Amino acid sequence: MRKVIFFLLVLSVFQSYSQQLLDENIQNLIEVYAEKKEINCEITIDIEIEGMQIPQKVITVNFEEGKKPKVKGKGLALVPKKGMINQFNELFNTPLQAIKMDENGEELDYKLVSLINSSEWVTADIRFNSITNQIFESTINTRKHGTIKAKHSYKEYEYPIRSILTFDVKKFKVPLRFIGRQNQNIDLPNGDDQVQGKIVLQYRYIDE
Amino acid sequence: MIRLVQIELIKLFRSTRTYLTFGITLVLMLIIDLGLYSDGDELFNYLLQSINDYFYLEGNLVNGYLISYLALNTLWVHIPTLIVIVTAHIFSSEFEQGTIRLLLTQSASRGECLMAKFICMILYVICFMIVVALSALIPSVMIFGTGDVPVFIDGIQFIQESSFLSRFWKTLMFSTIAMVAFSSLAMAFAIWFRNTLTAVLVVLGLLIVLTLLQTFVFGIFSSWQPFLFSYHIAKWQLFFMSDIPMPSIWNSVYYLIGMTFICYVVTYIKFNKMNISE
Repeated sequence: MRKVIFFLLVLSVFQSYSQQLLDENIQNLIEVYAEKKEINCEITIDIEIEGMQIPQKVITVNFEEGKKPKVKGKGLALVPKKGMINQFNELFNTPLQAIKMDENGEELDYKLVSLINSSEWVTADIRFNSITNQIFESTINTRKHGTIKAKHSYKEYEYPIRSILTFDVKKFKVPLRFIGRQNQNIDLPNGDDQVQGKIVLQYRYIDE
Repeated sequence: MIRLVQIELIKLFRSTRTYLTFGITLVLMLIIDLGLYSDGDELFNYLLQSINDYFYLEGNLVNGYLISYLALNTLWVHIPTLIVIVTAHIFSSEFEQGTIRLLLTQSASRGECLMAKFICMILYVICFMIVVALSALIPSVMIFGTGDVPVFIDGIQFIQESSFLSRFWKTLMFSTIAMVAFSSLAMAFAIWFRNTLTAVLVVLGLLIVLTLLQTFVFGIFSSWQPFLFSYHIAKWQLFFMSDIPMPSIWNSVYYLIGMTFICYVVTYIKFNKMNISE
């Protein structure tokens, strides 16, 4: 029991110490992104994944910290589970360790490492502007959803107006008994066929 | 000619089997609606599980349009079966009931008699397809509402709600042409065998065998596909692709119209040469 208490004490001390170690640039990002608890925006979604043909969709989304996004829109919409703007909130609300990798004027490269097992992300590489706090590129390794690369474009707001997400996705397979007879090339399941998925998201912030 | 068609229609709509086929269609559609009402969400979550790993699927997935699309899958076997039971009977009933001699002693020529039956067959197929369309669409939309339709052709395609109805009606028009062609084959066999049951069995046997051959696409049968009528009948699915391949559909329309014409000519020759005392 003593050992467990000691271990937990060391862990919590280490965790708080590591938080204190975060430099000013990361602290600024945490201030900008972790404190934004709710975002309302209109998103235009274009999905390009081999084996899927999905028309462009415009949806209105309410992101609230720790909750599943609330989506309003016409028809069926596929909303990415990871890589959207709520990802920033999720990243900077997690106890993390930040390592500076590169610096090029105002542009900084950092590697973030999650310090808790319960977070959905494990590590993240981000490139951001230290003055505007805008994150231009991120590569996030998640526990469940693989690696998601994102490139963000900005106008003035600290949240992007356009994001391009790329990720590896299992090739879509329909169980054989559901395959339509016009499927000329019956593609039998073959292990974990991975294809690259690309999603282009265009944001219009309602409470901007 | 109009009088002859009217007589044929009276005979058709006084037959119990005509109403039975309509009744069975309604029951079929009801079963599809009930089945998807109870298990639809589970079924589609299973089908879309690989998508669910990466996306939240928002919106009304199991909707009336999706169910109507699924109901169209009865075009593979159920609808052709019900249709040929009636259409083969239009031609062979005269032999079975012994009224063929009476029919051929009328002032109308054999060609006119055959044409009247042929027109009656087309009208029945049109009526039947309208019943299929309305029974597939109206109850499901009333119960489940409308929405986008995920279609499993070459992967997955999401058909937008706004374009669904035009695709649905085009599918039914195409299928009507296909069912007329299939019924023409039944007509030819009905005149040949002079028996409804034999004609129905032969035509359905052909449909099953050709569909099986068509399914073996990765074997030697792939080059035969364009010659199989089952291949062309199945083209209704293409109306639910994101980009509808119209040239391919038109090819099938020409094939099916040609097939109807050939069946009609063969039946006409056989019927004209038929000895009245046979």
